[in-house]
This record gives sequence, structure tokens and C-alpha cells, in this order.
Amino acid sequence: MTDHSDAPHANSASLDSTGAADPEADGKPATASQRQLVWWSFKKHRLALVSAWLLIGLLVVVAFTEFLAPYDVRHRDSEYTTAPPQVLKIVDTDGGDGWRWGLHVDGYTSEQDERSLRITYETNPDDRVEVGFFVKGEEYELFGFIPWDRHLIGPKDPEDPMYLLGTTTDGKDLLTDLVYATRVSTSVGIIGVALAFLMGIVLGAISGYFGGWIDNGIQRLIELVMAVPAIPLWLGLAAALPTDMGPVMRYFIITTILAVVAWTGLAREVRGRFLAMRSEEFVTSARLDGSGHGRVMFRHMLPSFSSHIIAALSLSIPTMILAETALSWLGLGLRPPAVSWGVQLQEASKWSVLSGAPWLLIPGLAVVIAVLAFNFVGDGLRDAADPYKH
Amino acid sequence: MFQYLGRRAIYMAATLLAISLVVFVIISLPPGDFVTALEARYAVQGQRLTPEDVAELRSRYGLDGNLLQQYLHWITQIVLHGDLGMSFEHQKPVSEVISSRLGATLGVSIATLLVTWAIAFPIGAYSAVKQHSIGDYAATTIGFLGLATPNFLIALIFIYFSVNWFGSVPSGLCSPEWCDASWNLGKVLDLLGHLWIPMIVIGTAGVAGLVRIIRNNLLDELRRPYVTAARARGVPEGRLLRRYPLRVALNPFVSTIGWVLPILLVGDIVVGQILGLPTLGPILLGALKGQDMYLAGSIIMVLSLVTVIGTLISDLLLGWLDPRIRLGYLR
Amino acid sequence: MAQPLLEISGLRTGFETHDGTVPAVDGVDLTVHAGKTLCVVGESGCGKSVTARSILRLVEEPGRIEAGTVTWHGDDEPFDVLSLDHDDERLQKLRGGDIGMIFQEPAASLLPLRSIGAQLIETIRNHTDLDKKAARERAIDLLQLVGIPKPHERVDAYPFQLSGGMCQRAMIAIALCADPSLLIADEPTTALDVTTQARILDLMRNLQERHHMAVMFITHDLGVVAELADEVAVMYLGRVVERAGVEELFADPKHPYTRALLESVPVLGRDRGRDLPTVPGTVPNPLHRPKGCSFHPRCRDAIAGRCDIDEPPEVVFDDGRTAECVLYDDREGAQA
Repeated sequence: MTDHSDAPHANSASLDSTGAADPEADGKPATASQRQLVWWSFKKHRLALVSAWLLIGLLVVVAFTEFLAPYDVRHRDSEYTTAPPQVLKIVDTDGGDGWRWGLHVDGYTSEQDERSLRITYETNPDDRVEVGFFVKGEEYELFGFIPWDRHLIGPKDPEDPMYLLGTTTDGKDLLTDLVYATRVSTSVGIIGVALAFLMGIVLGAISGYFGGWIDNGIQRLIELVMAVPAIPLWLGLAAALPTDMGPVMRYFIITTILAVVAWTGLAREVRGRFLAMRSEEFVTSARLDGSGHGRVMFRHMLPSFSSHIIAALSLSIPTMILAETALSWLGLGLRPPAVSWGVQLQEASKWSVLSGAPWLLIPGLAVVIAVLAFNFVGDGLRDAADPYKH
Repeated sequence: MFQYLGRRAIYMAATLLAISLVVFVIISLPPGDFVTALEARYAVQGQRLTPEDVAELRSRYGLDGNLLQQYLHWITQIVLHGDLGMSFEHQKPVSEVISSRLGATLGVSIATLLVTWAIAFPIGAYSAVKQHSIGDYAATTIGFLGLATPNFLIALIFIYFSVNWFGSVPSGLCSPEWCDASWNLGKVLDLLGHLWIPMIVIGTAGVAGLVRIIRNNLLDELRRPYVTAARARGVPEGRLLRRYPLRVALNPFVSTIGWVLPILLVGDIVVGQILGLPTLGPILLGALKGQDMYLAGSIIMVLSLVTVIGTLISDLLLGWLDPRIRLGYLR
Repeated sequence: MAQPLLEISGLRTGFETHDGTVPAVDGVDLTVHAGKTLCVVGESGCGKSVTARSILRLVEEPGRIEAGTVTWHGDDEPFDVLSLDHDDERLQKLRGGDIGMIFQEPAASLLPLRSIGAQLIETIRNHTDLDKKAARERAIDLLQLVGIPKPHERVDAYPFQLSGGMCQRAMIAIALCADPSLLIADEPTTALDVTTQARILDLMRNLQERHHMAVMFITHDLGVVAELADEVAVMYLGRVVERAGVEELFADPKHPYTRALLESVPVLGRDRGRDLPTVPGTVPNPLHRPKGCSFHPRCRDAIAGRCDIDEPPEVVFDDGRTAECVLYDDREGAQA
């Protein structure tokens, strides 16, 4: 090897220190806040944006369930069991006396099979059921304390049948059930994830704060819980519940079970993010600039971190929803009189019923849409959380 | 390599211990135990058990003493005698109930796993290599739908069309005329004719998940410097793809055995129920609903064991595929 | 003057982003002469790596070579690399055969799953007729040549078992497989520590002498330039702003940017106890390239009303060196 004392390169200045204009880096002016960057990036994800609107719609359904449902959830019409969906019409052309305007649906005619005694219903264009908005119907309490009796849509004469999505085998309005089920299933997902997140963040924080053997112990515990296959665990825990439990209690216990099984992933996410963030250069430089611990954590770390967490949360919700749906469908989760998407789909599992009543699968569509929406929003957020990444 | 193997083995033992604890908790959770259930049944038949009889029975079944002692009794019976306890509903030892159906369950699951891989790998690879092509968008869309649809819903949709088009639902794993026949080509064909239905229903979610994983992994790998470097030294495109990124993207694929197996087994609960398969799924569901906890717990234990073994196999495969793991540079 | 081996002319390479196409390389002309070393120097993001990658058409999505020619004179018939078909044999022969290339991150540029020997042998067999056994012999020889100790054992080692310096040596060995006439080195020492850096540079200089290769060396380190280069091209924001022989450049930098760069290099003795001058400001975003001369916002000699409006002319001096700057327009010694 030759002597390099004459070569200045050993201590020459690196020109790379600016690092500003990588051709692949995003070209935003440097004045945008982190929140703005995330929002800009999220907006480009069109599917995520549409999904975000869907989720807002879902939340509206959860909040205004009683108003949006045409009937009370206990409403049962034994006259019309397994009736097909009606089509909402605004004009009647075959009434004979010209066009009759006005919102209406067709009524039903029934036919009884002589041998099987089974009654089948069909919509009948000659029978007109007047439908209106904000009609008077069964009384309820909005948000649990505002007594009211108006429903967004319903038959003008409460005695008339209006079943836009058809009825179940025991004569319940599928639309009403679906609206109530949306509240239950969505909230199981959200509350479950919130619980799991709480457990995760507490244990993750303990893990990060104390470090050492406590961190080690918690990490091993998480690994072991993760090693037990989740779904049999759900099934087992759910099945071990007393059978005579009330629906509200059952709702909370099932949600807790789902959370207990799901918290490990979130705990790891939280801890991992914190650990990774701690050694990031901007955190070090914030420290060196003289910012206190609190300022570093809340002004520097949390903003760059919260979108990741929100993304992780919204990606966990669909898993919860799917788990609840499957559990309830199997008869191990929520049970009637509680309604959730899974409970609703139980109706469809007898194929003798399903073959004549495909509308019973509609709640399945709701599951798919909700799960997709949460997934897309989560994906969009995750991508947006790193505005400089692409 | 041996160090690696040893570490995996210890880890597996610890996992099994944890699983057994969880399963025992599940078994002990419902109020009453096996003897309470026995008492109830004798009472129905008009026989009354004296408190002495009950205590006798409890000690015989290892149900006296505190929870820890009960756990120790239960686990020693399993480890030393392979005794999983009695199924209350089936009036048979649990091990008999399980063993008669374990074969079919594993058969369906492994067949599905292999088909799942065979379908998912090429789709995922295509999707990544031809990113932003129509095929990629189609695969991604179907993948999203597959992941968002509970597999029982797929089964229900399948049944709806099956009933309305063919007037019936194909059930079981074999047609009556072949079920008792000895193995020959006809029976194999008949089996395959029945197997594809549960495969579709069970495998959809797995395929969708795996396509997504392989696509994301491959996209990551395709951007790595070693790909550019290999191209720069003239490795032809096809071989470049096969030998480099695909090879690396295979790793996480292999490590999915651990989580895909339980998903498949649970899919079996759903499909087995609807299609009447002679597998563990329907038995497990019945046991859970009837709170036949020894049977349910044992099946969960067996499923977990299968998962753990699956994980071990995938760990070994990984060690074989990836020198970084084999030589202990990566955990 | 030596024979031109590689001529880049009017090269434009852009990257598609959400906000439009970023012109990373914006009309670059460069010539590498046989057996000589051309150093391309500039700050991060000036397009020097993209230029190097464009030569062998290694620019990845969303990047695209939009215009220009890259003419290879190493064969009997000169040809334009950029107009070859993807499966043209000449492109395959060029990549790793006539042109070897090494990269910034040696460890990441080797596939972790296969031993360096396997990757070496693959390339040897790609470009020669050697059989497996002979290729392995050659691989061991090459490892010896690039100064890897115990090449018989190391040939079976995996990249992650070697240090960064050793990996870069292995990369060089791979690049030398088929006795290339040009070695493109894309910041090969940036990721290495200082002593390793010096050794790798030594190795490259020795190899160049022994094999009479031309070297195109991409770097941001003026020290490396001083040590290795015969000719230097200074790049700024996707363009070559100055081109000169190494002595002339260091003795008499023409372009204000080059001058600012040279002043920012510390000199032993001179700079004790005083602040090192830096180039003021940062490289502008290539999407919002300043009007006129792209360097004018940072330039001490910028002429208001001229530099911020007109594109600077390329001034060719008597000795063949060039600078893109209005300062030398219509001045002594310059032929515009």
C-alpha cells in the first residue's frame, strides 16, 4: 500500500451533506407540516378517499341507527315471512289511469304450496304501498335520550308492508336488521381494536420505559401468545362462556376476547415504532438542539408516528369484524336477539332456505364493503404516513 | 445449523407449554367439570351419586386438588399415556374421536395448502413483475375481495349457485359407490372431484393473502441494488428474476406455513359443516357448542400442535434456503 | 489524445413523479477515452449516478431515458447502446463483458443467498466459454488479484460474512471477469471507512495500469478526483458545467461552481483556525429549476439580468476544456 499523506481525500469535505434533491424524493416545498404532507399524500390515493367517505357513512349509520331503520329491531311481521325485496318506485305506469306519481313499492301476494304448506311471496304491481320520508313509526330514543317517532323512510300507513331488502324467515325486516347489525358489528371492531390498542400501548410503554428484563419478559410473553393459533383460541374462549349470559354482557365479553387475542400485534407495532424512532437522526438532532424529553416526544416523535398507528388501527379493525362475523355465524359469538352481520348470515346457512331467498346474503355484502373500506383507508394512511418514501 | 435447530426446538417446546396452559384454561372455564356432567346424566337416568361416589370419581379423573394439580394431572396423562380425556357427547375417549378424523383433515388441509401455493406464487410473481398492468390490477382486486370475504360467505354463495343450477350440494369427500372401495384410479378421481369444492372455499382467503405477500415482497426485492448489479453484469432477465429476487421472495412465502395452516384448518370448520366432510371441523364446532370441553380443548391442542409443527417445518426450510438464517446472521 | 471509447451525447433521463417529470440528467455530453480515467464529480442529486446507469440502461422505473446517444467504440463497429433492442447480444456482451460496473453499497449489491464464488462463476461463464471447473479456478485467481486473502476459502463465503471492503473487492473481481475495457465505478468508496477507501482506490489504480482499462469514476469527493483522474467533468443539476484535465481544473477552475467546490476542500496548514467556506444555499429542486443558469441563485459572480434569464453558453477554451458560463463568453482564449 502506498502512503497517502499527500492525498487530501482522507479528510476532504463531503458534498453530500445537503442531500436535498434526490430525483426520487418528493418535490414539495419544504414548508409543509407533517399533517399537510400526510393529507396531500392520502388525497392521491383515490380508493382510500372514497373508502374514507364510506366509513363516515358507516359512522352515521351507527349514530342514527334508530332513525335510519324503517322499523324497530323487535318488529316482526308473521304475515310476511321470507318475503322478497321490493323495488322503490316513483311512478306507477300500469295502474290503468295514466301515470301516478309518488314514492311507493309494490305490495305482496302470497301463495301456499299445497303439499309442503310452504308460503311463497311475490311482489304484486297491482297492490300499491305508499312510501314516504320522515314518516311516523315506532317510537325510539335517539342517542339513548331523545324520544322521537320519525323514521327516514317507511310506509305511510304503518299497517302496510315495506320491506326494501326483503324479510327473514321469521318475518323481520332485513333492512332494519342490517342497520342495527351495522352498529353492532362496526362497534365490535372499533371497541375491540381500541381495547387491544390500550393493552398494547400500556404493555408497549412499560416494555419501552423499563427495558431490561421486563421488556424481555413482555416480549417473550407476546411471542408465546402469538404462537397460539388465534382462531382456535377465539373459538375456545367464546365457547367457554356461560350460555345464559345476557346479550349486552355477551357483546362486551366477545369484544374483549377478540381484543385479548389481537393486542399482541399492536403492542409490537407500538414498541417497534418507538424503538426505531428513538434512534432516528431527527430525534437525536432535536435532543441536541436542546429540546426537552416532552417536546421531543410530542412535537417530534408523535406526529411522525401517529399516522402509522392510525394506519395500524384501521388495518386491525377489519380483522376484528371478520372474526366477529365468523364467530357469530358459527353460533359462538353474539346470539339472537342481538343482531350482527354474522348473526344475520346464520339465517342463510340452511340451503333449503337460501336457495329460495338469496337476499339473505345481503349482510355479507355489507361485511365485504366495510372490510374493504377499512383496509383501503388503512393502506392509504400507511402509504401517506411516509410522505417522502415514494 | 445445530445451534439453530436447538434454538427452534426449545422455542417449540415453550410454545407447546404455553398452548397447553391456554387450552387447560379453556377447558376449566365453563362452570362444572366432567364429573358434574356425569352426575347430571345419572340424575336424568334416576340414579343419585353419593358425595363419596363423586369424590371417588373426581380423584379418579384427576379433578380433585387445586387448578395447578389438575393441570399437572391432565398434562401427564397426555404426555405419558396419550390420554386426552373422555368426550362426554361421543361417550368415547377423545383420542379415538380425533384420530378417526385427523387423517382426512390433514389431507384436505395439505392438499389445499399445496394448491394455494401453486396458484398464489405465479399470480403474485406476475403481479409484481408486471406492476400496473391489467393483470396486476385484476389480481390485486380479486385479492382484496378474497381477503374481505369471510370464507363461509364464499361457501354460502357457492351453495346458492350449486342448488339453483344443479339442484343439490355435493357433499362429503367421496360418492357412495366409491367410499368403501379400495384405492384405485376411479376412487382417486372421485376424491379429486369432491376435493376441489372445499379447496376453493378454504383456499380463497389463503390465496388472496399469499398473492399479496409475494407481490409486496417481490416488489421490495426488485428494487434492491443487487438486482441492478446483476443486470449490470449481464445476467439474462429470466434467470435474473428466477435466481435472484424470486429466490429471496420465496423465504417469507415459506415462513407462512405457520399461519396459513390454522387458517386452512378453521376454514375446514366452516366448510366441513356445510359440506359434511369427515374432518375435525364439524366435530370441533359440535364440541364447542355442547361445551364438551375435553374434546374441544383437545382438538384445539391438536390444531395448535399441527401449527407448531408447520412452523418448525417452515423454519427448517428457511434455514435450508437462506444461509443467513442457517449461519445465524439473521434471526 | 487517446481514442474515444465511450461517447455520451445529449443524454436526458427523467423520473416520473406525481408532480411531473423530474429531469435528473438534462442534456449531458461526456467522452471516456481508452485507458484513461474520467471522474464525474458533483453534489448528491446532480445526476451523476443516473448518467452512469443510463450508459448500461440500468435506470429503473419510474426513470426513463428520454433522449441522447451512448456510442460505444470498443468494438470494430461503433454502435449506439441506447438504440439496441432489449435482447440484443451486444447489450448483453457490454454488460459485465466489455463494461464492468461497481456500486456504492457493495454488500447490498451482492445477492445474500449465494456465495460470492457462485455469483463470480455465473458471470465468468456468462461471458467466456470456460467450464465449471475452469471458471472456479478463474474465480479464485480473480479474488487473489483483487487482494482477497485466502481466496480458496473465501470463494465459498457469503456476502454477509465479508466486510464492506471485502465485498467491494469481490464486486471488482466480478467486474473484471471478462477483461473489460471500461470500468464504471459509481461512488464505490462512499460507504466504506477511510482506510478501506484508500486501499480500494489503490487497488483500482493498480488494476487500471495492469489491464489498461478506462475508468469512469463517479464521486463527490474531490480528494479522490485529485488522486485518480486524468479528466474531470463537474456536474450540477443534471448538466456538465465544466470539463477539463485534472491539473488544469485544480490549477485554474473556470466555472464559479467548480471554484466554490474547490474552496470548500480543507487544505492542511492553510485552513487551521478558520471556518471552511461552503457553497452557499442548497441544490434546488430539479422540478423547479431556476430560470437561466441553474446555478445563479448560489453564484457569487452571477450577473443580474443575464444569468437569471439566458441559458449559459458552453464556452470551449483553447486546450479543449469547456465551461458553461457567461463569464467567459467573448473573452480572451475562448471560442464560443
